[in-house]
Amino acid sequence: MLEEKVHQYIAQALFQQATALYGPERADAIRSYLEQMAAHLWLLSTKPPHREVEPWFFM
Amino acid sequence: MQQWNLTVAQASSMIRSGELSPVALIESLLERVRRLEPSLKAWVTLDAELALAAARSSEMELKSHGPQGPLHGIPVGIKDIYYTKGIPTTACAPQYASFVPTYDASSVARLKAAGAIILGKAVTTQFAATDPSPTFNPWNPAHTPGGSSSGSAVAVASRMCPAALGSQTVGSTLRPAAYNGIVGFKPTYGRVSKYGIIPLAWSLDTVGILARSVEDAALLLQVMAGHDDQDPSSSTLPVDDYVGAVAKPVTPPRIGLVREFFYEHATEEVRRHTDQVVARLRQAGATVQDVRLPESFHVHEAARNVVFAVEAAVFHQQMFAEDPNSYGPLLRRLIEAGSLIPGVSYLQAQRVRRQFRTEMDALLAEVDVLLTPATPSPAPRDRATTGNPLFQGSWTSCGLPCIAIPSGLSADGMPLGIQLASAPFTEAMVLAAAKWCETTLGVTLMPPGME
Repeated sequence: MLEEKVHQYIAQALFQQATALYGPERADAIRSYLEQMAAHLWLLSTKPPHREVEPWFFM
Repeated sequence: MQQWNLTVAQASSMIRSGELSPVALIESLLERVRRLEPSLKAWVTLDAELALAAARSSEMELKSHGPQGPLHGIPVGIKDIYYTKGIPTTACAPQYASFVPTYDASSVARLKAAGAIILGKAVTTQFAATDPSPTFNPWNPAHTPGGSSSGSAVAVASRMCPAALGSQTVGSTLRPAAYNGIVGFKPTYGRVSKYGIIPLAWSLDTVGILARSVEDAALLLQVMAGHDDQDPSSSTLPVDDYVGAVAKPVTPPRIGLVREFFYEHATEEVRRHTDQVVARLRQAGATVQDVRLPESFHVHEAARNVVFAVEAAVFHQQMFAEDPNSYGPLLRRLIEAGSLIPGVSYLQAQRVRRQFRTEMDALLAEVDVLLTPATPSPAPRDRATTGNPLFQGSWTSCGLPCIAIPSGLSADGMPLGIQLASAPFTEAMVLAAAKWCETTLGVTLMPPGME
């Protein structure tokens, strides 16, 4: 239940930013895509890598 | 055999022995382009006179000085995101409509230095993203040709050129290769320079090769691989002998079959076909074991999507602000969403990718190659999509070398393929394994009505 709330909160935050930046029409047009992105962000926040892992960039 | 149907290796051998002239080869291909291009729409820029002039020059040089390099007189197609000196590079986008580079991308320069002739610039989806291109699949025009390297794949499959460059940020080389029944190869991230290629996402973008045999992919890779000071992601590791690796008799590979995730997302027909292919490979001597994916596999897709969106948004930030309406709807929403993602999430995603790569290294130490279906289904009967890149994205995300080879036809006559991947910088191994599979399966595909 808490996880679902966090996911919804991220999606809502993205939608609000999109509305402010691109206007309500564009924000509505990409709402489902923002929800997908929110799911990715939520998953990343719940499964962090080991503390020692550095970011990728160029290998 | 018709000249237009020669592979790179065959044409190169005949040019060297004097059996084939570069001019005759290019005339044969240009005639084929004239016949097929109106219905396939694979090319953005193709200047027949320029290509013929290059072939004449190549022929004269051959007579006076001998072959310039291993690709002497070989025509190649170049995806229209690669800088080509004096030839328009449009990315199939209005922002680049009148852009003519003053230098070649490093990979193009290396092909030319090896004697290759630029036949033309192949259609890409806009900025190599996911809005479909106008190109048609030669197997059935109602089905997508894939993307983003749609023109390159269709040009090679329809025998308008023997090989072409594509690129892969998620699945843009191997997927169109599989949808069109040809070979698609992506080297390790950093193996081939990206300098002079219009980026989509810097930490994912990789040069891709589209060809009709594994040997041809090895020939092109051999020429292009190696360090380039102008690309900060370019590796300094020595270049192996890829051509030699596929030329000598290859022992059957140790194959790790990845059913997890890939079989869950594949159609019943693709699962059955892949099982049949694996049975044939096992019968011919390959060692096949089922392998389990590491834990980070199940997070990396989220990480890749975040990285992809943010990097695309950053590259396009200025152009997008000036004219958002000139962008295709899928690229537009990618840029808009990518612009909203916090820096913390981007870095977390890049950390997940690093962990995924480390865990994949451990898995790949147990086998020579991993085998999966090349795509979840044959090319979908839907031109509003470029298909699903899900089966390529994982290996692109951790930078592994991978290859798709044709393995048969679906019930409705569309190409099916398998995908092999190996440890970073083991291109010689994955090419050798692919050559063995190609020989064992004996599948060469030609679209109907193109003979």
